[in-house]
Amino acid sequence: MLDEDVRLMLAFRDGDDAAFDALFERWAGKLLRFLERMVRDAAVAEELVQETFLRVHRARSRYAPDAKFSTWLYTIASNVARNELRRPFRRAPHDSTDLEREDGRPLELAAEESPVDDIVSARREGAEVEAALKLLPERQRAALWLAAVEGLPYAEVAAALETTESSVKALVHRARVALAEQLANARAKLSPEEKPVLIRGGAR
Amino acid sequence: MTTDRDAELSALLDGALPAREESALRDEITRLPELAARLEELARVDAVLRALPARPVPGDLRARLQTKLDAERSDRPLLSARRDAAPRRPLGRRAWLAGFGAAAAAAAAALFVMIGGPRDPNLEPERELASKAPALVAPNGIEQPRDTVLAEARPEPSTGAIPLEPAGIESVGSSEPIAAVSPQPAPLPELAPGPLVDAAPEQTPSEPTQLAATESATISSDDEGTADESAAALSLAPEEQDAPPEQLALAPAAVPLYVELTDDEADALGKLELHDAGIVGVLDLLGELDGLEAEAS
Repeated sequence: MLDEDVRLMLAFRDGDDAAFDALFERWAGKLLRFLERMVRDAAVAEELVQETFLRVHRARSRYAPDAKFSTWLYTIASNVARNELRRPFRRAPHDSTDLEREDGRPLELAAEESPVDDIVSARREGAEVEAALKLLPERQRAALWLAAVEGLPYAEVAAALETTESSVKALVHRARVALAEQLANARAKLSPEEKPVLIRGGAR
Repeated sequence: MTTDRDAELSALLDGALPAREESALRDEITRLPELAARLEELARVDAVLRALPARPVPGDLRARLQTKLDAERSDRPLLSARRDAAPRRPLGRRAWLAGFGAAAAAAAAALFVMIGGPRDPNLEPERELASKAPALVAPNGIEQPRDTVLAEARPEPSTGAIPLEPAGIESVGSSEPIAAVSPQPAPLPELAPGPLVDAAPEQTPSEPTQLAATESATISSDDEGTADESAAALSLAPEEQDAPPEQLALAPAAVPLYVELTDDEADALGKLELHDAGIVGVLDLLGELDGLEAEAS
């Protein structure tokens, strides 16, 4: 039994344009979030989502469902992002989510806005992690995002990044450790009552 | 605090440990509080990443994509028609090897034309080059200092892509400089006979965009979409040979080709003469096709 994405892609290949719309609906958001993390620029990420779908559109007649659709799509998206990042004279990234000041340091929440619950703590931590994520090497960023956020198995991440599973394992590990470091530093700056509750049993 | 078990803990979080290792590690974690604490620190990273605010997809994104799809359709009637006609299979290894010979011949032709062509006053550089060595020569077919070619032919200076397009066709923004240096500035229809005449006026000028790749056919190491174009331009793909000959001759002229270079490659290229650049372009293109083959399969 084919998964829904493969079924849609095959339908699109065979001339069903509505299937392309459905694929866009299903994947544009995830691609946008991934590409935003990769190129660190909201407007560019939107262009790259379009470019990814343009390539899907162009490649439709050659599509063969011998890999998971997600793997194929993230392979295209990763390549699109890599091209963008290698482009000389690339516009300096600006932060779309206003989490950074102009000097690139994370924006601190105003003092009177003291965190009262985990949500606010998480937002503060999110800003720290988001800032640290931007500083990671491109492939670490991609590998961590695909494995930890999108939940792709290492084999799929390896295929999308055109590398081996063992190198994905190393990339994800280094990225995670770097961000954990950043989080620990951030928490050290918080007063004890502000410290967020750690999530128990995080392994999945 | 970094520990020497971080790699295992990280793999555990991703469910990537073999069953036996995973259960051994979980046993350890229950016995060693510091290991459990470290696992929590690493897991916290994932939790925070997943909780990052997700910006919604802009409502007009699909429409913007459609505009580009429509523009692409009207830009390249030959190629899209051919592609739609029959499902394609990826280039096989044998086709790739056979193609190498054809591409090498094309490279030789390009060299020949670049060196020999401009010295013959009777030649029409555009037509000559477009037909003999598509996509391998300077836009106006004239040997000139490399810097001039690269600077003037580049349609979008910020792309860093070296245009290897034939004969003054297209590329919004580049037609001006090309006409300026061409000894025989000719309007587009003269350069694009046949079906392309119909296609050219319908081209919609590209919107300003960060992506040079969007409006023009860009050969890049991963561009599965333009694999067909590159194959057509070099007459590489056996599948292309059933197309009418006049289409094969014309298609390259309609499709400006670019080879994306890494910074290192661009530096290396900077040290070469123009005709060397043609060869580099061909070799790059071949390498790209090899990659495309893997990606398409």
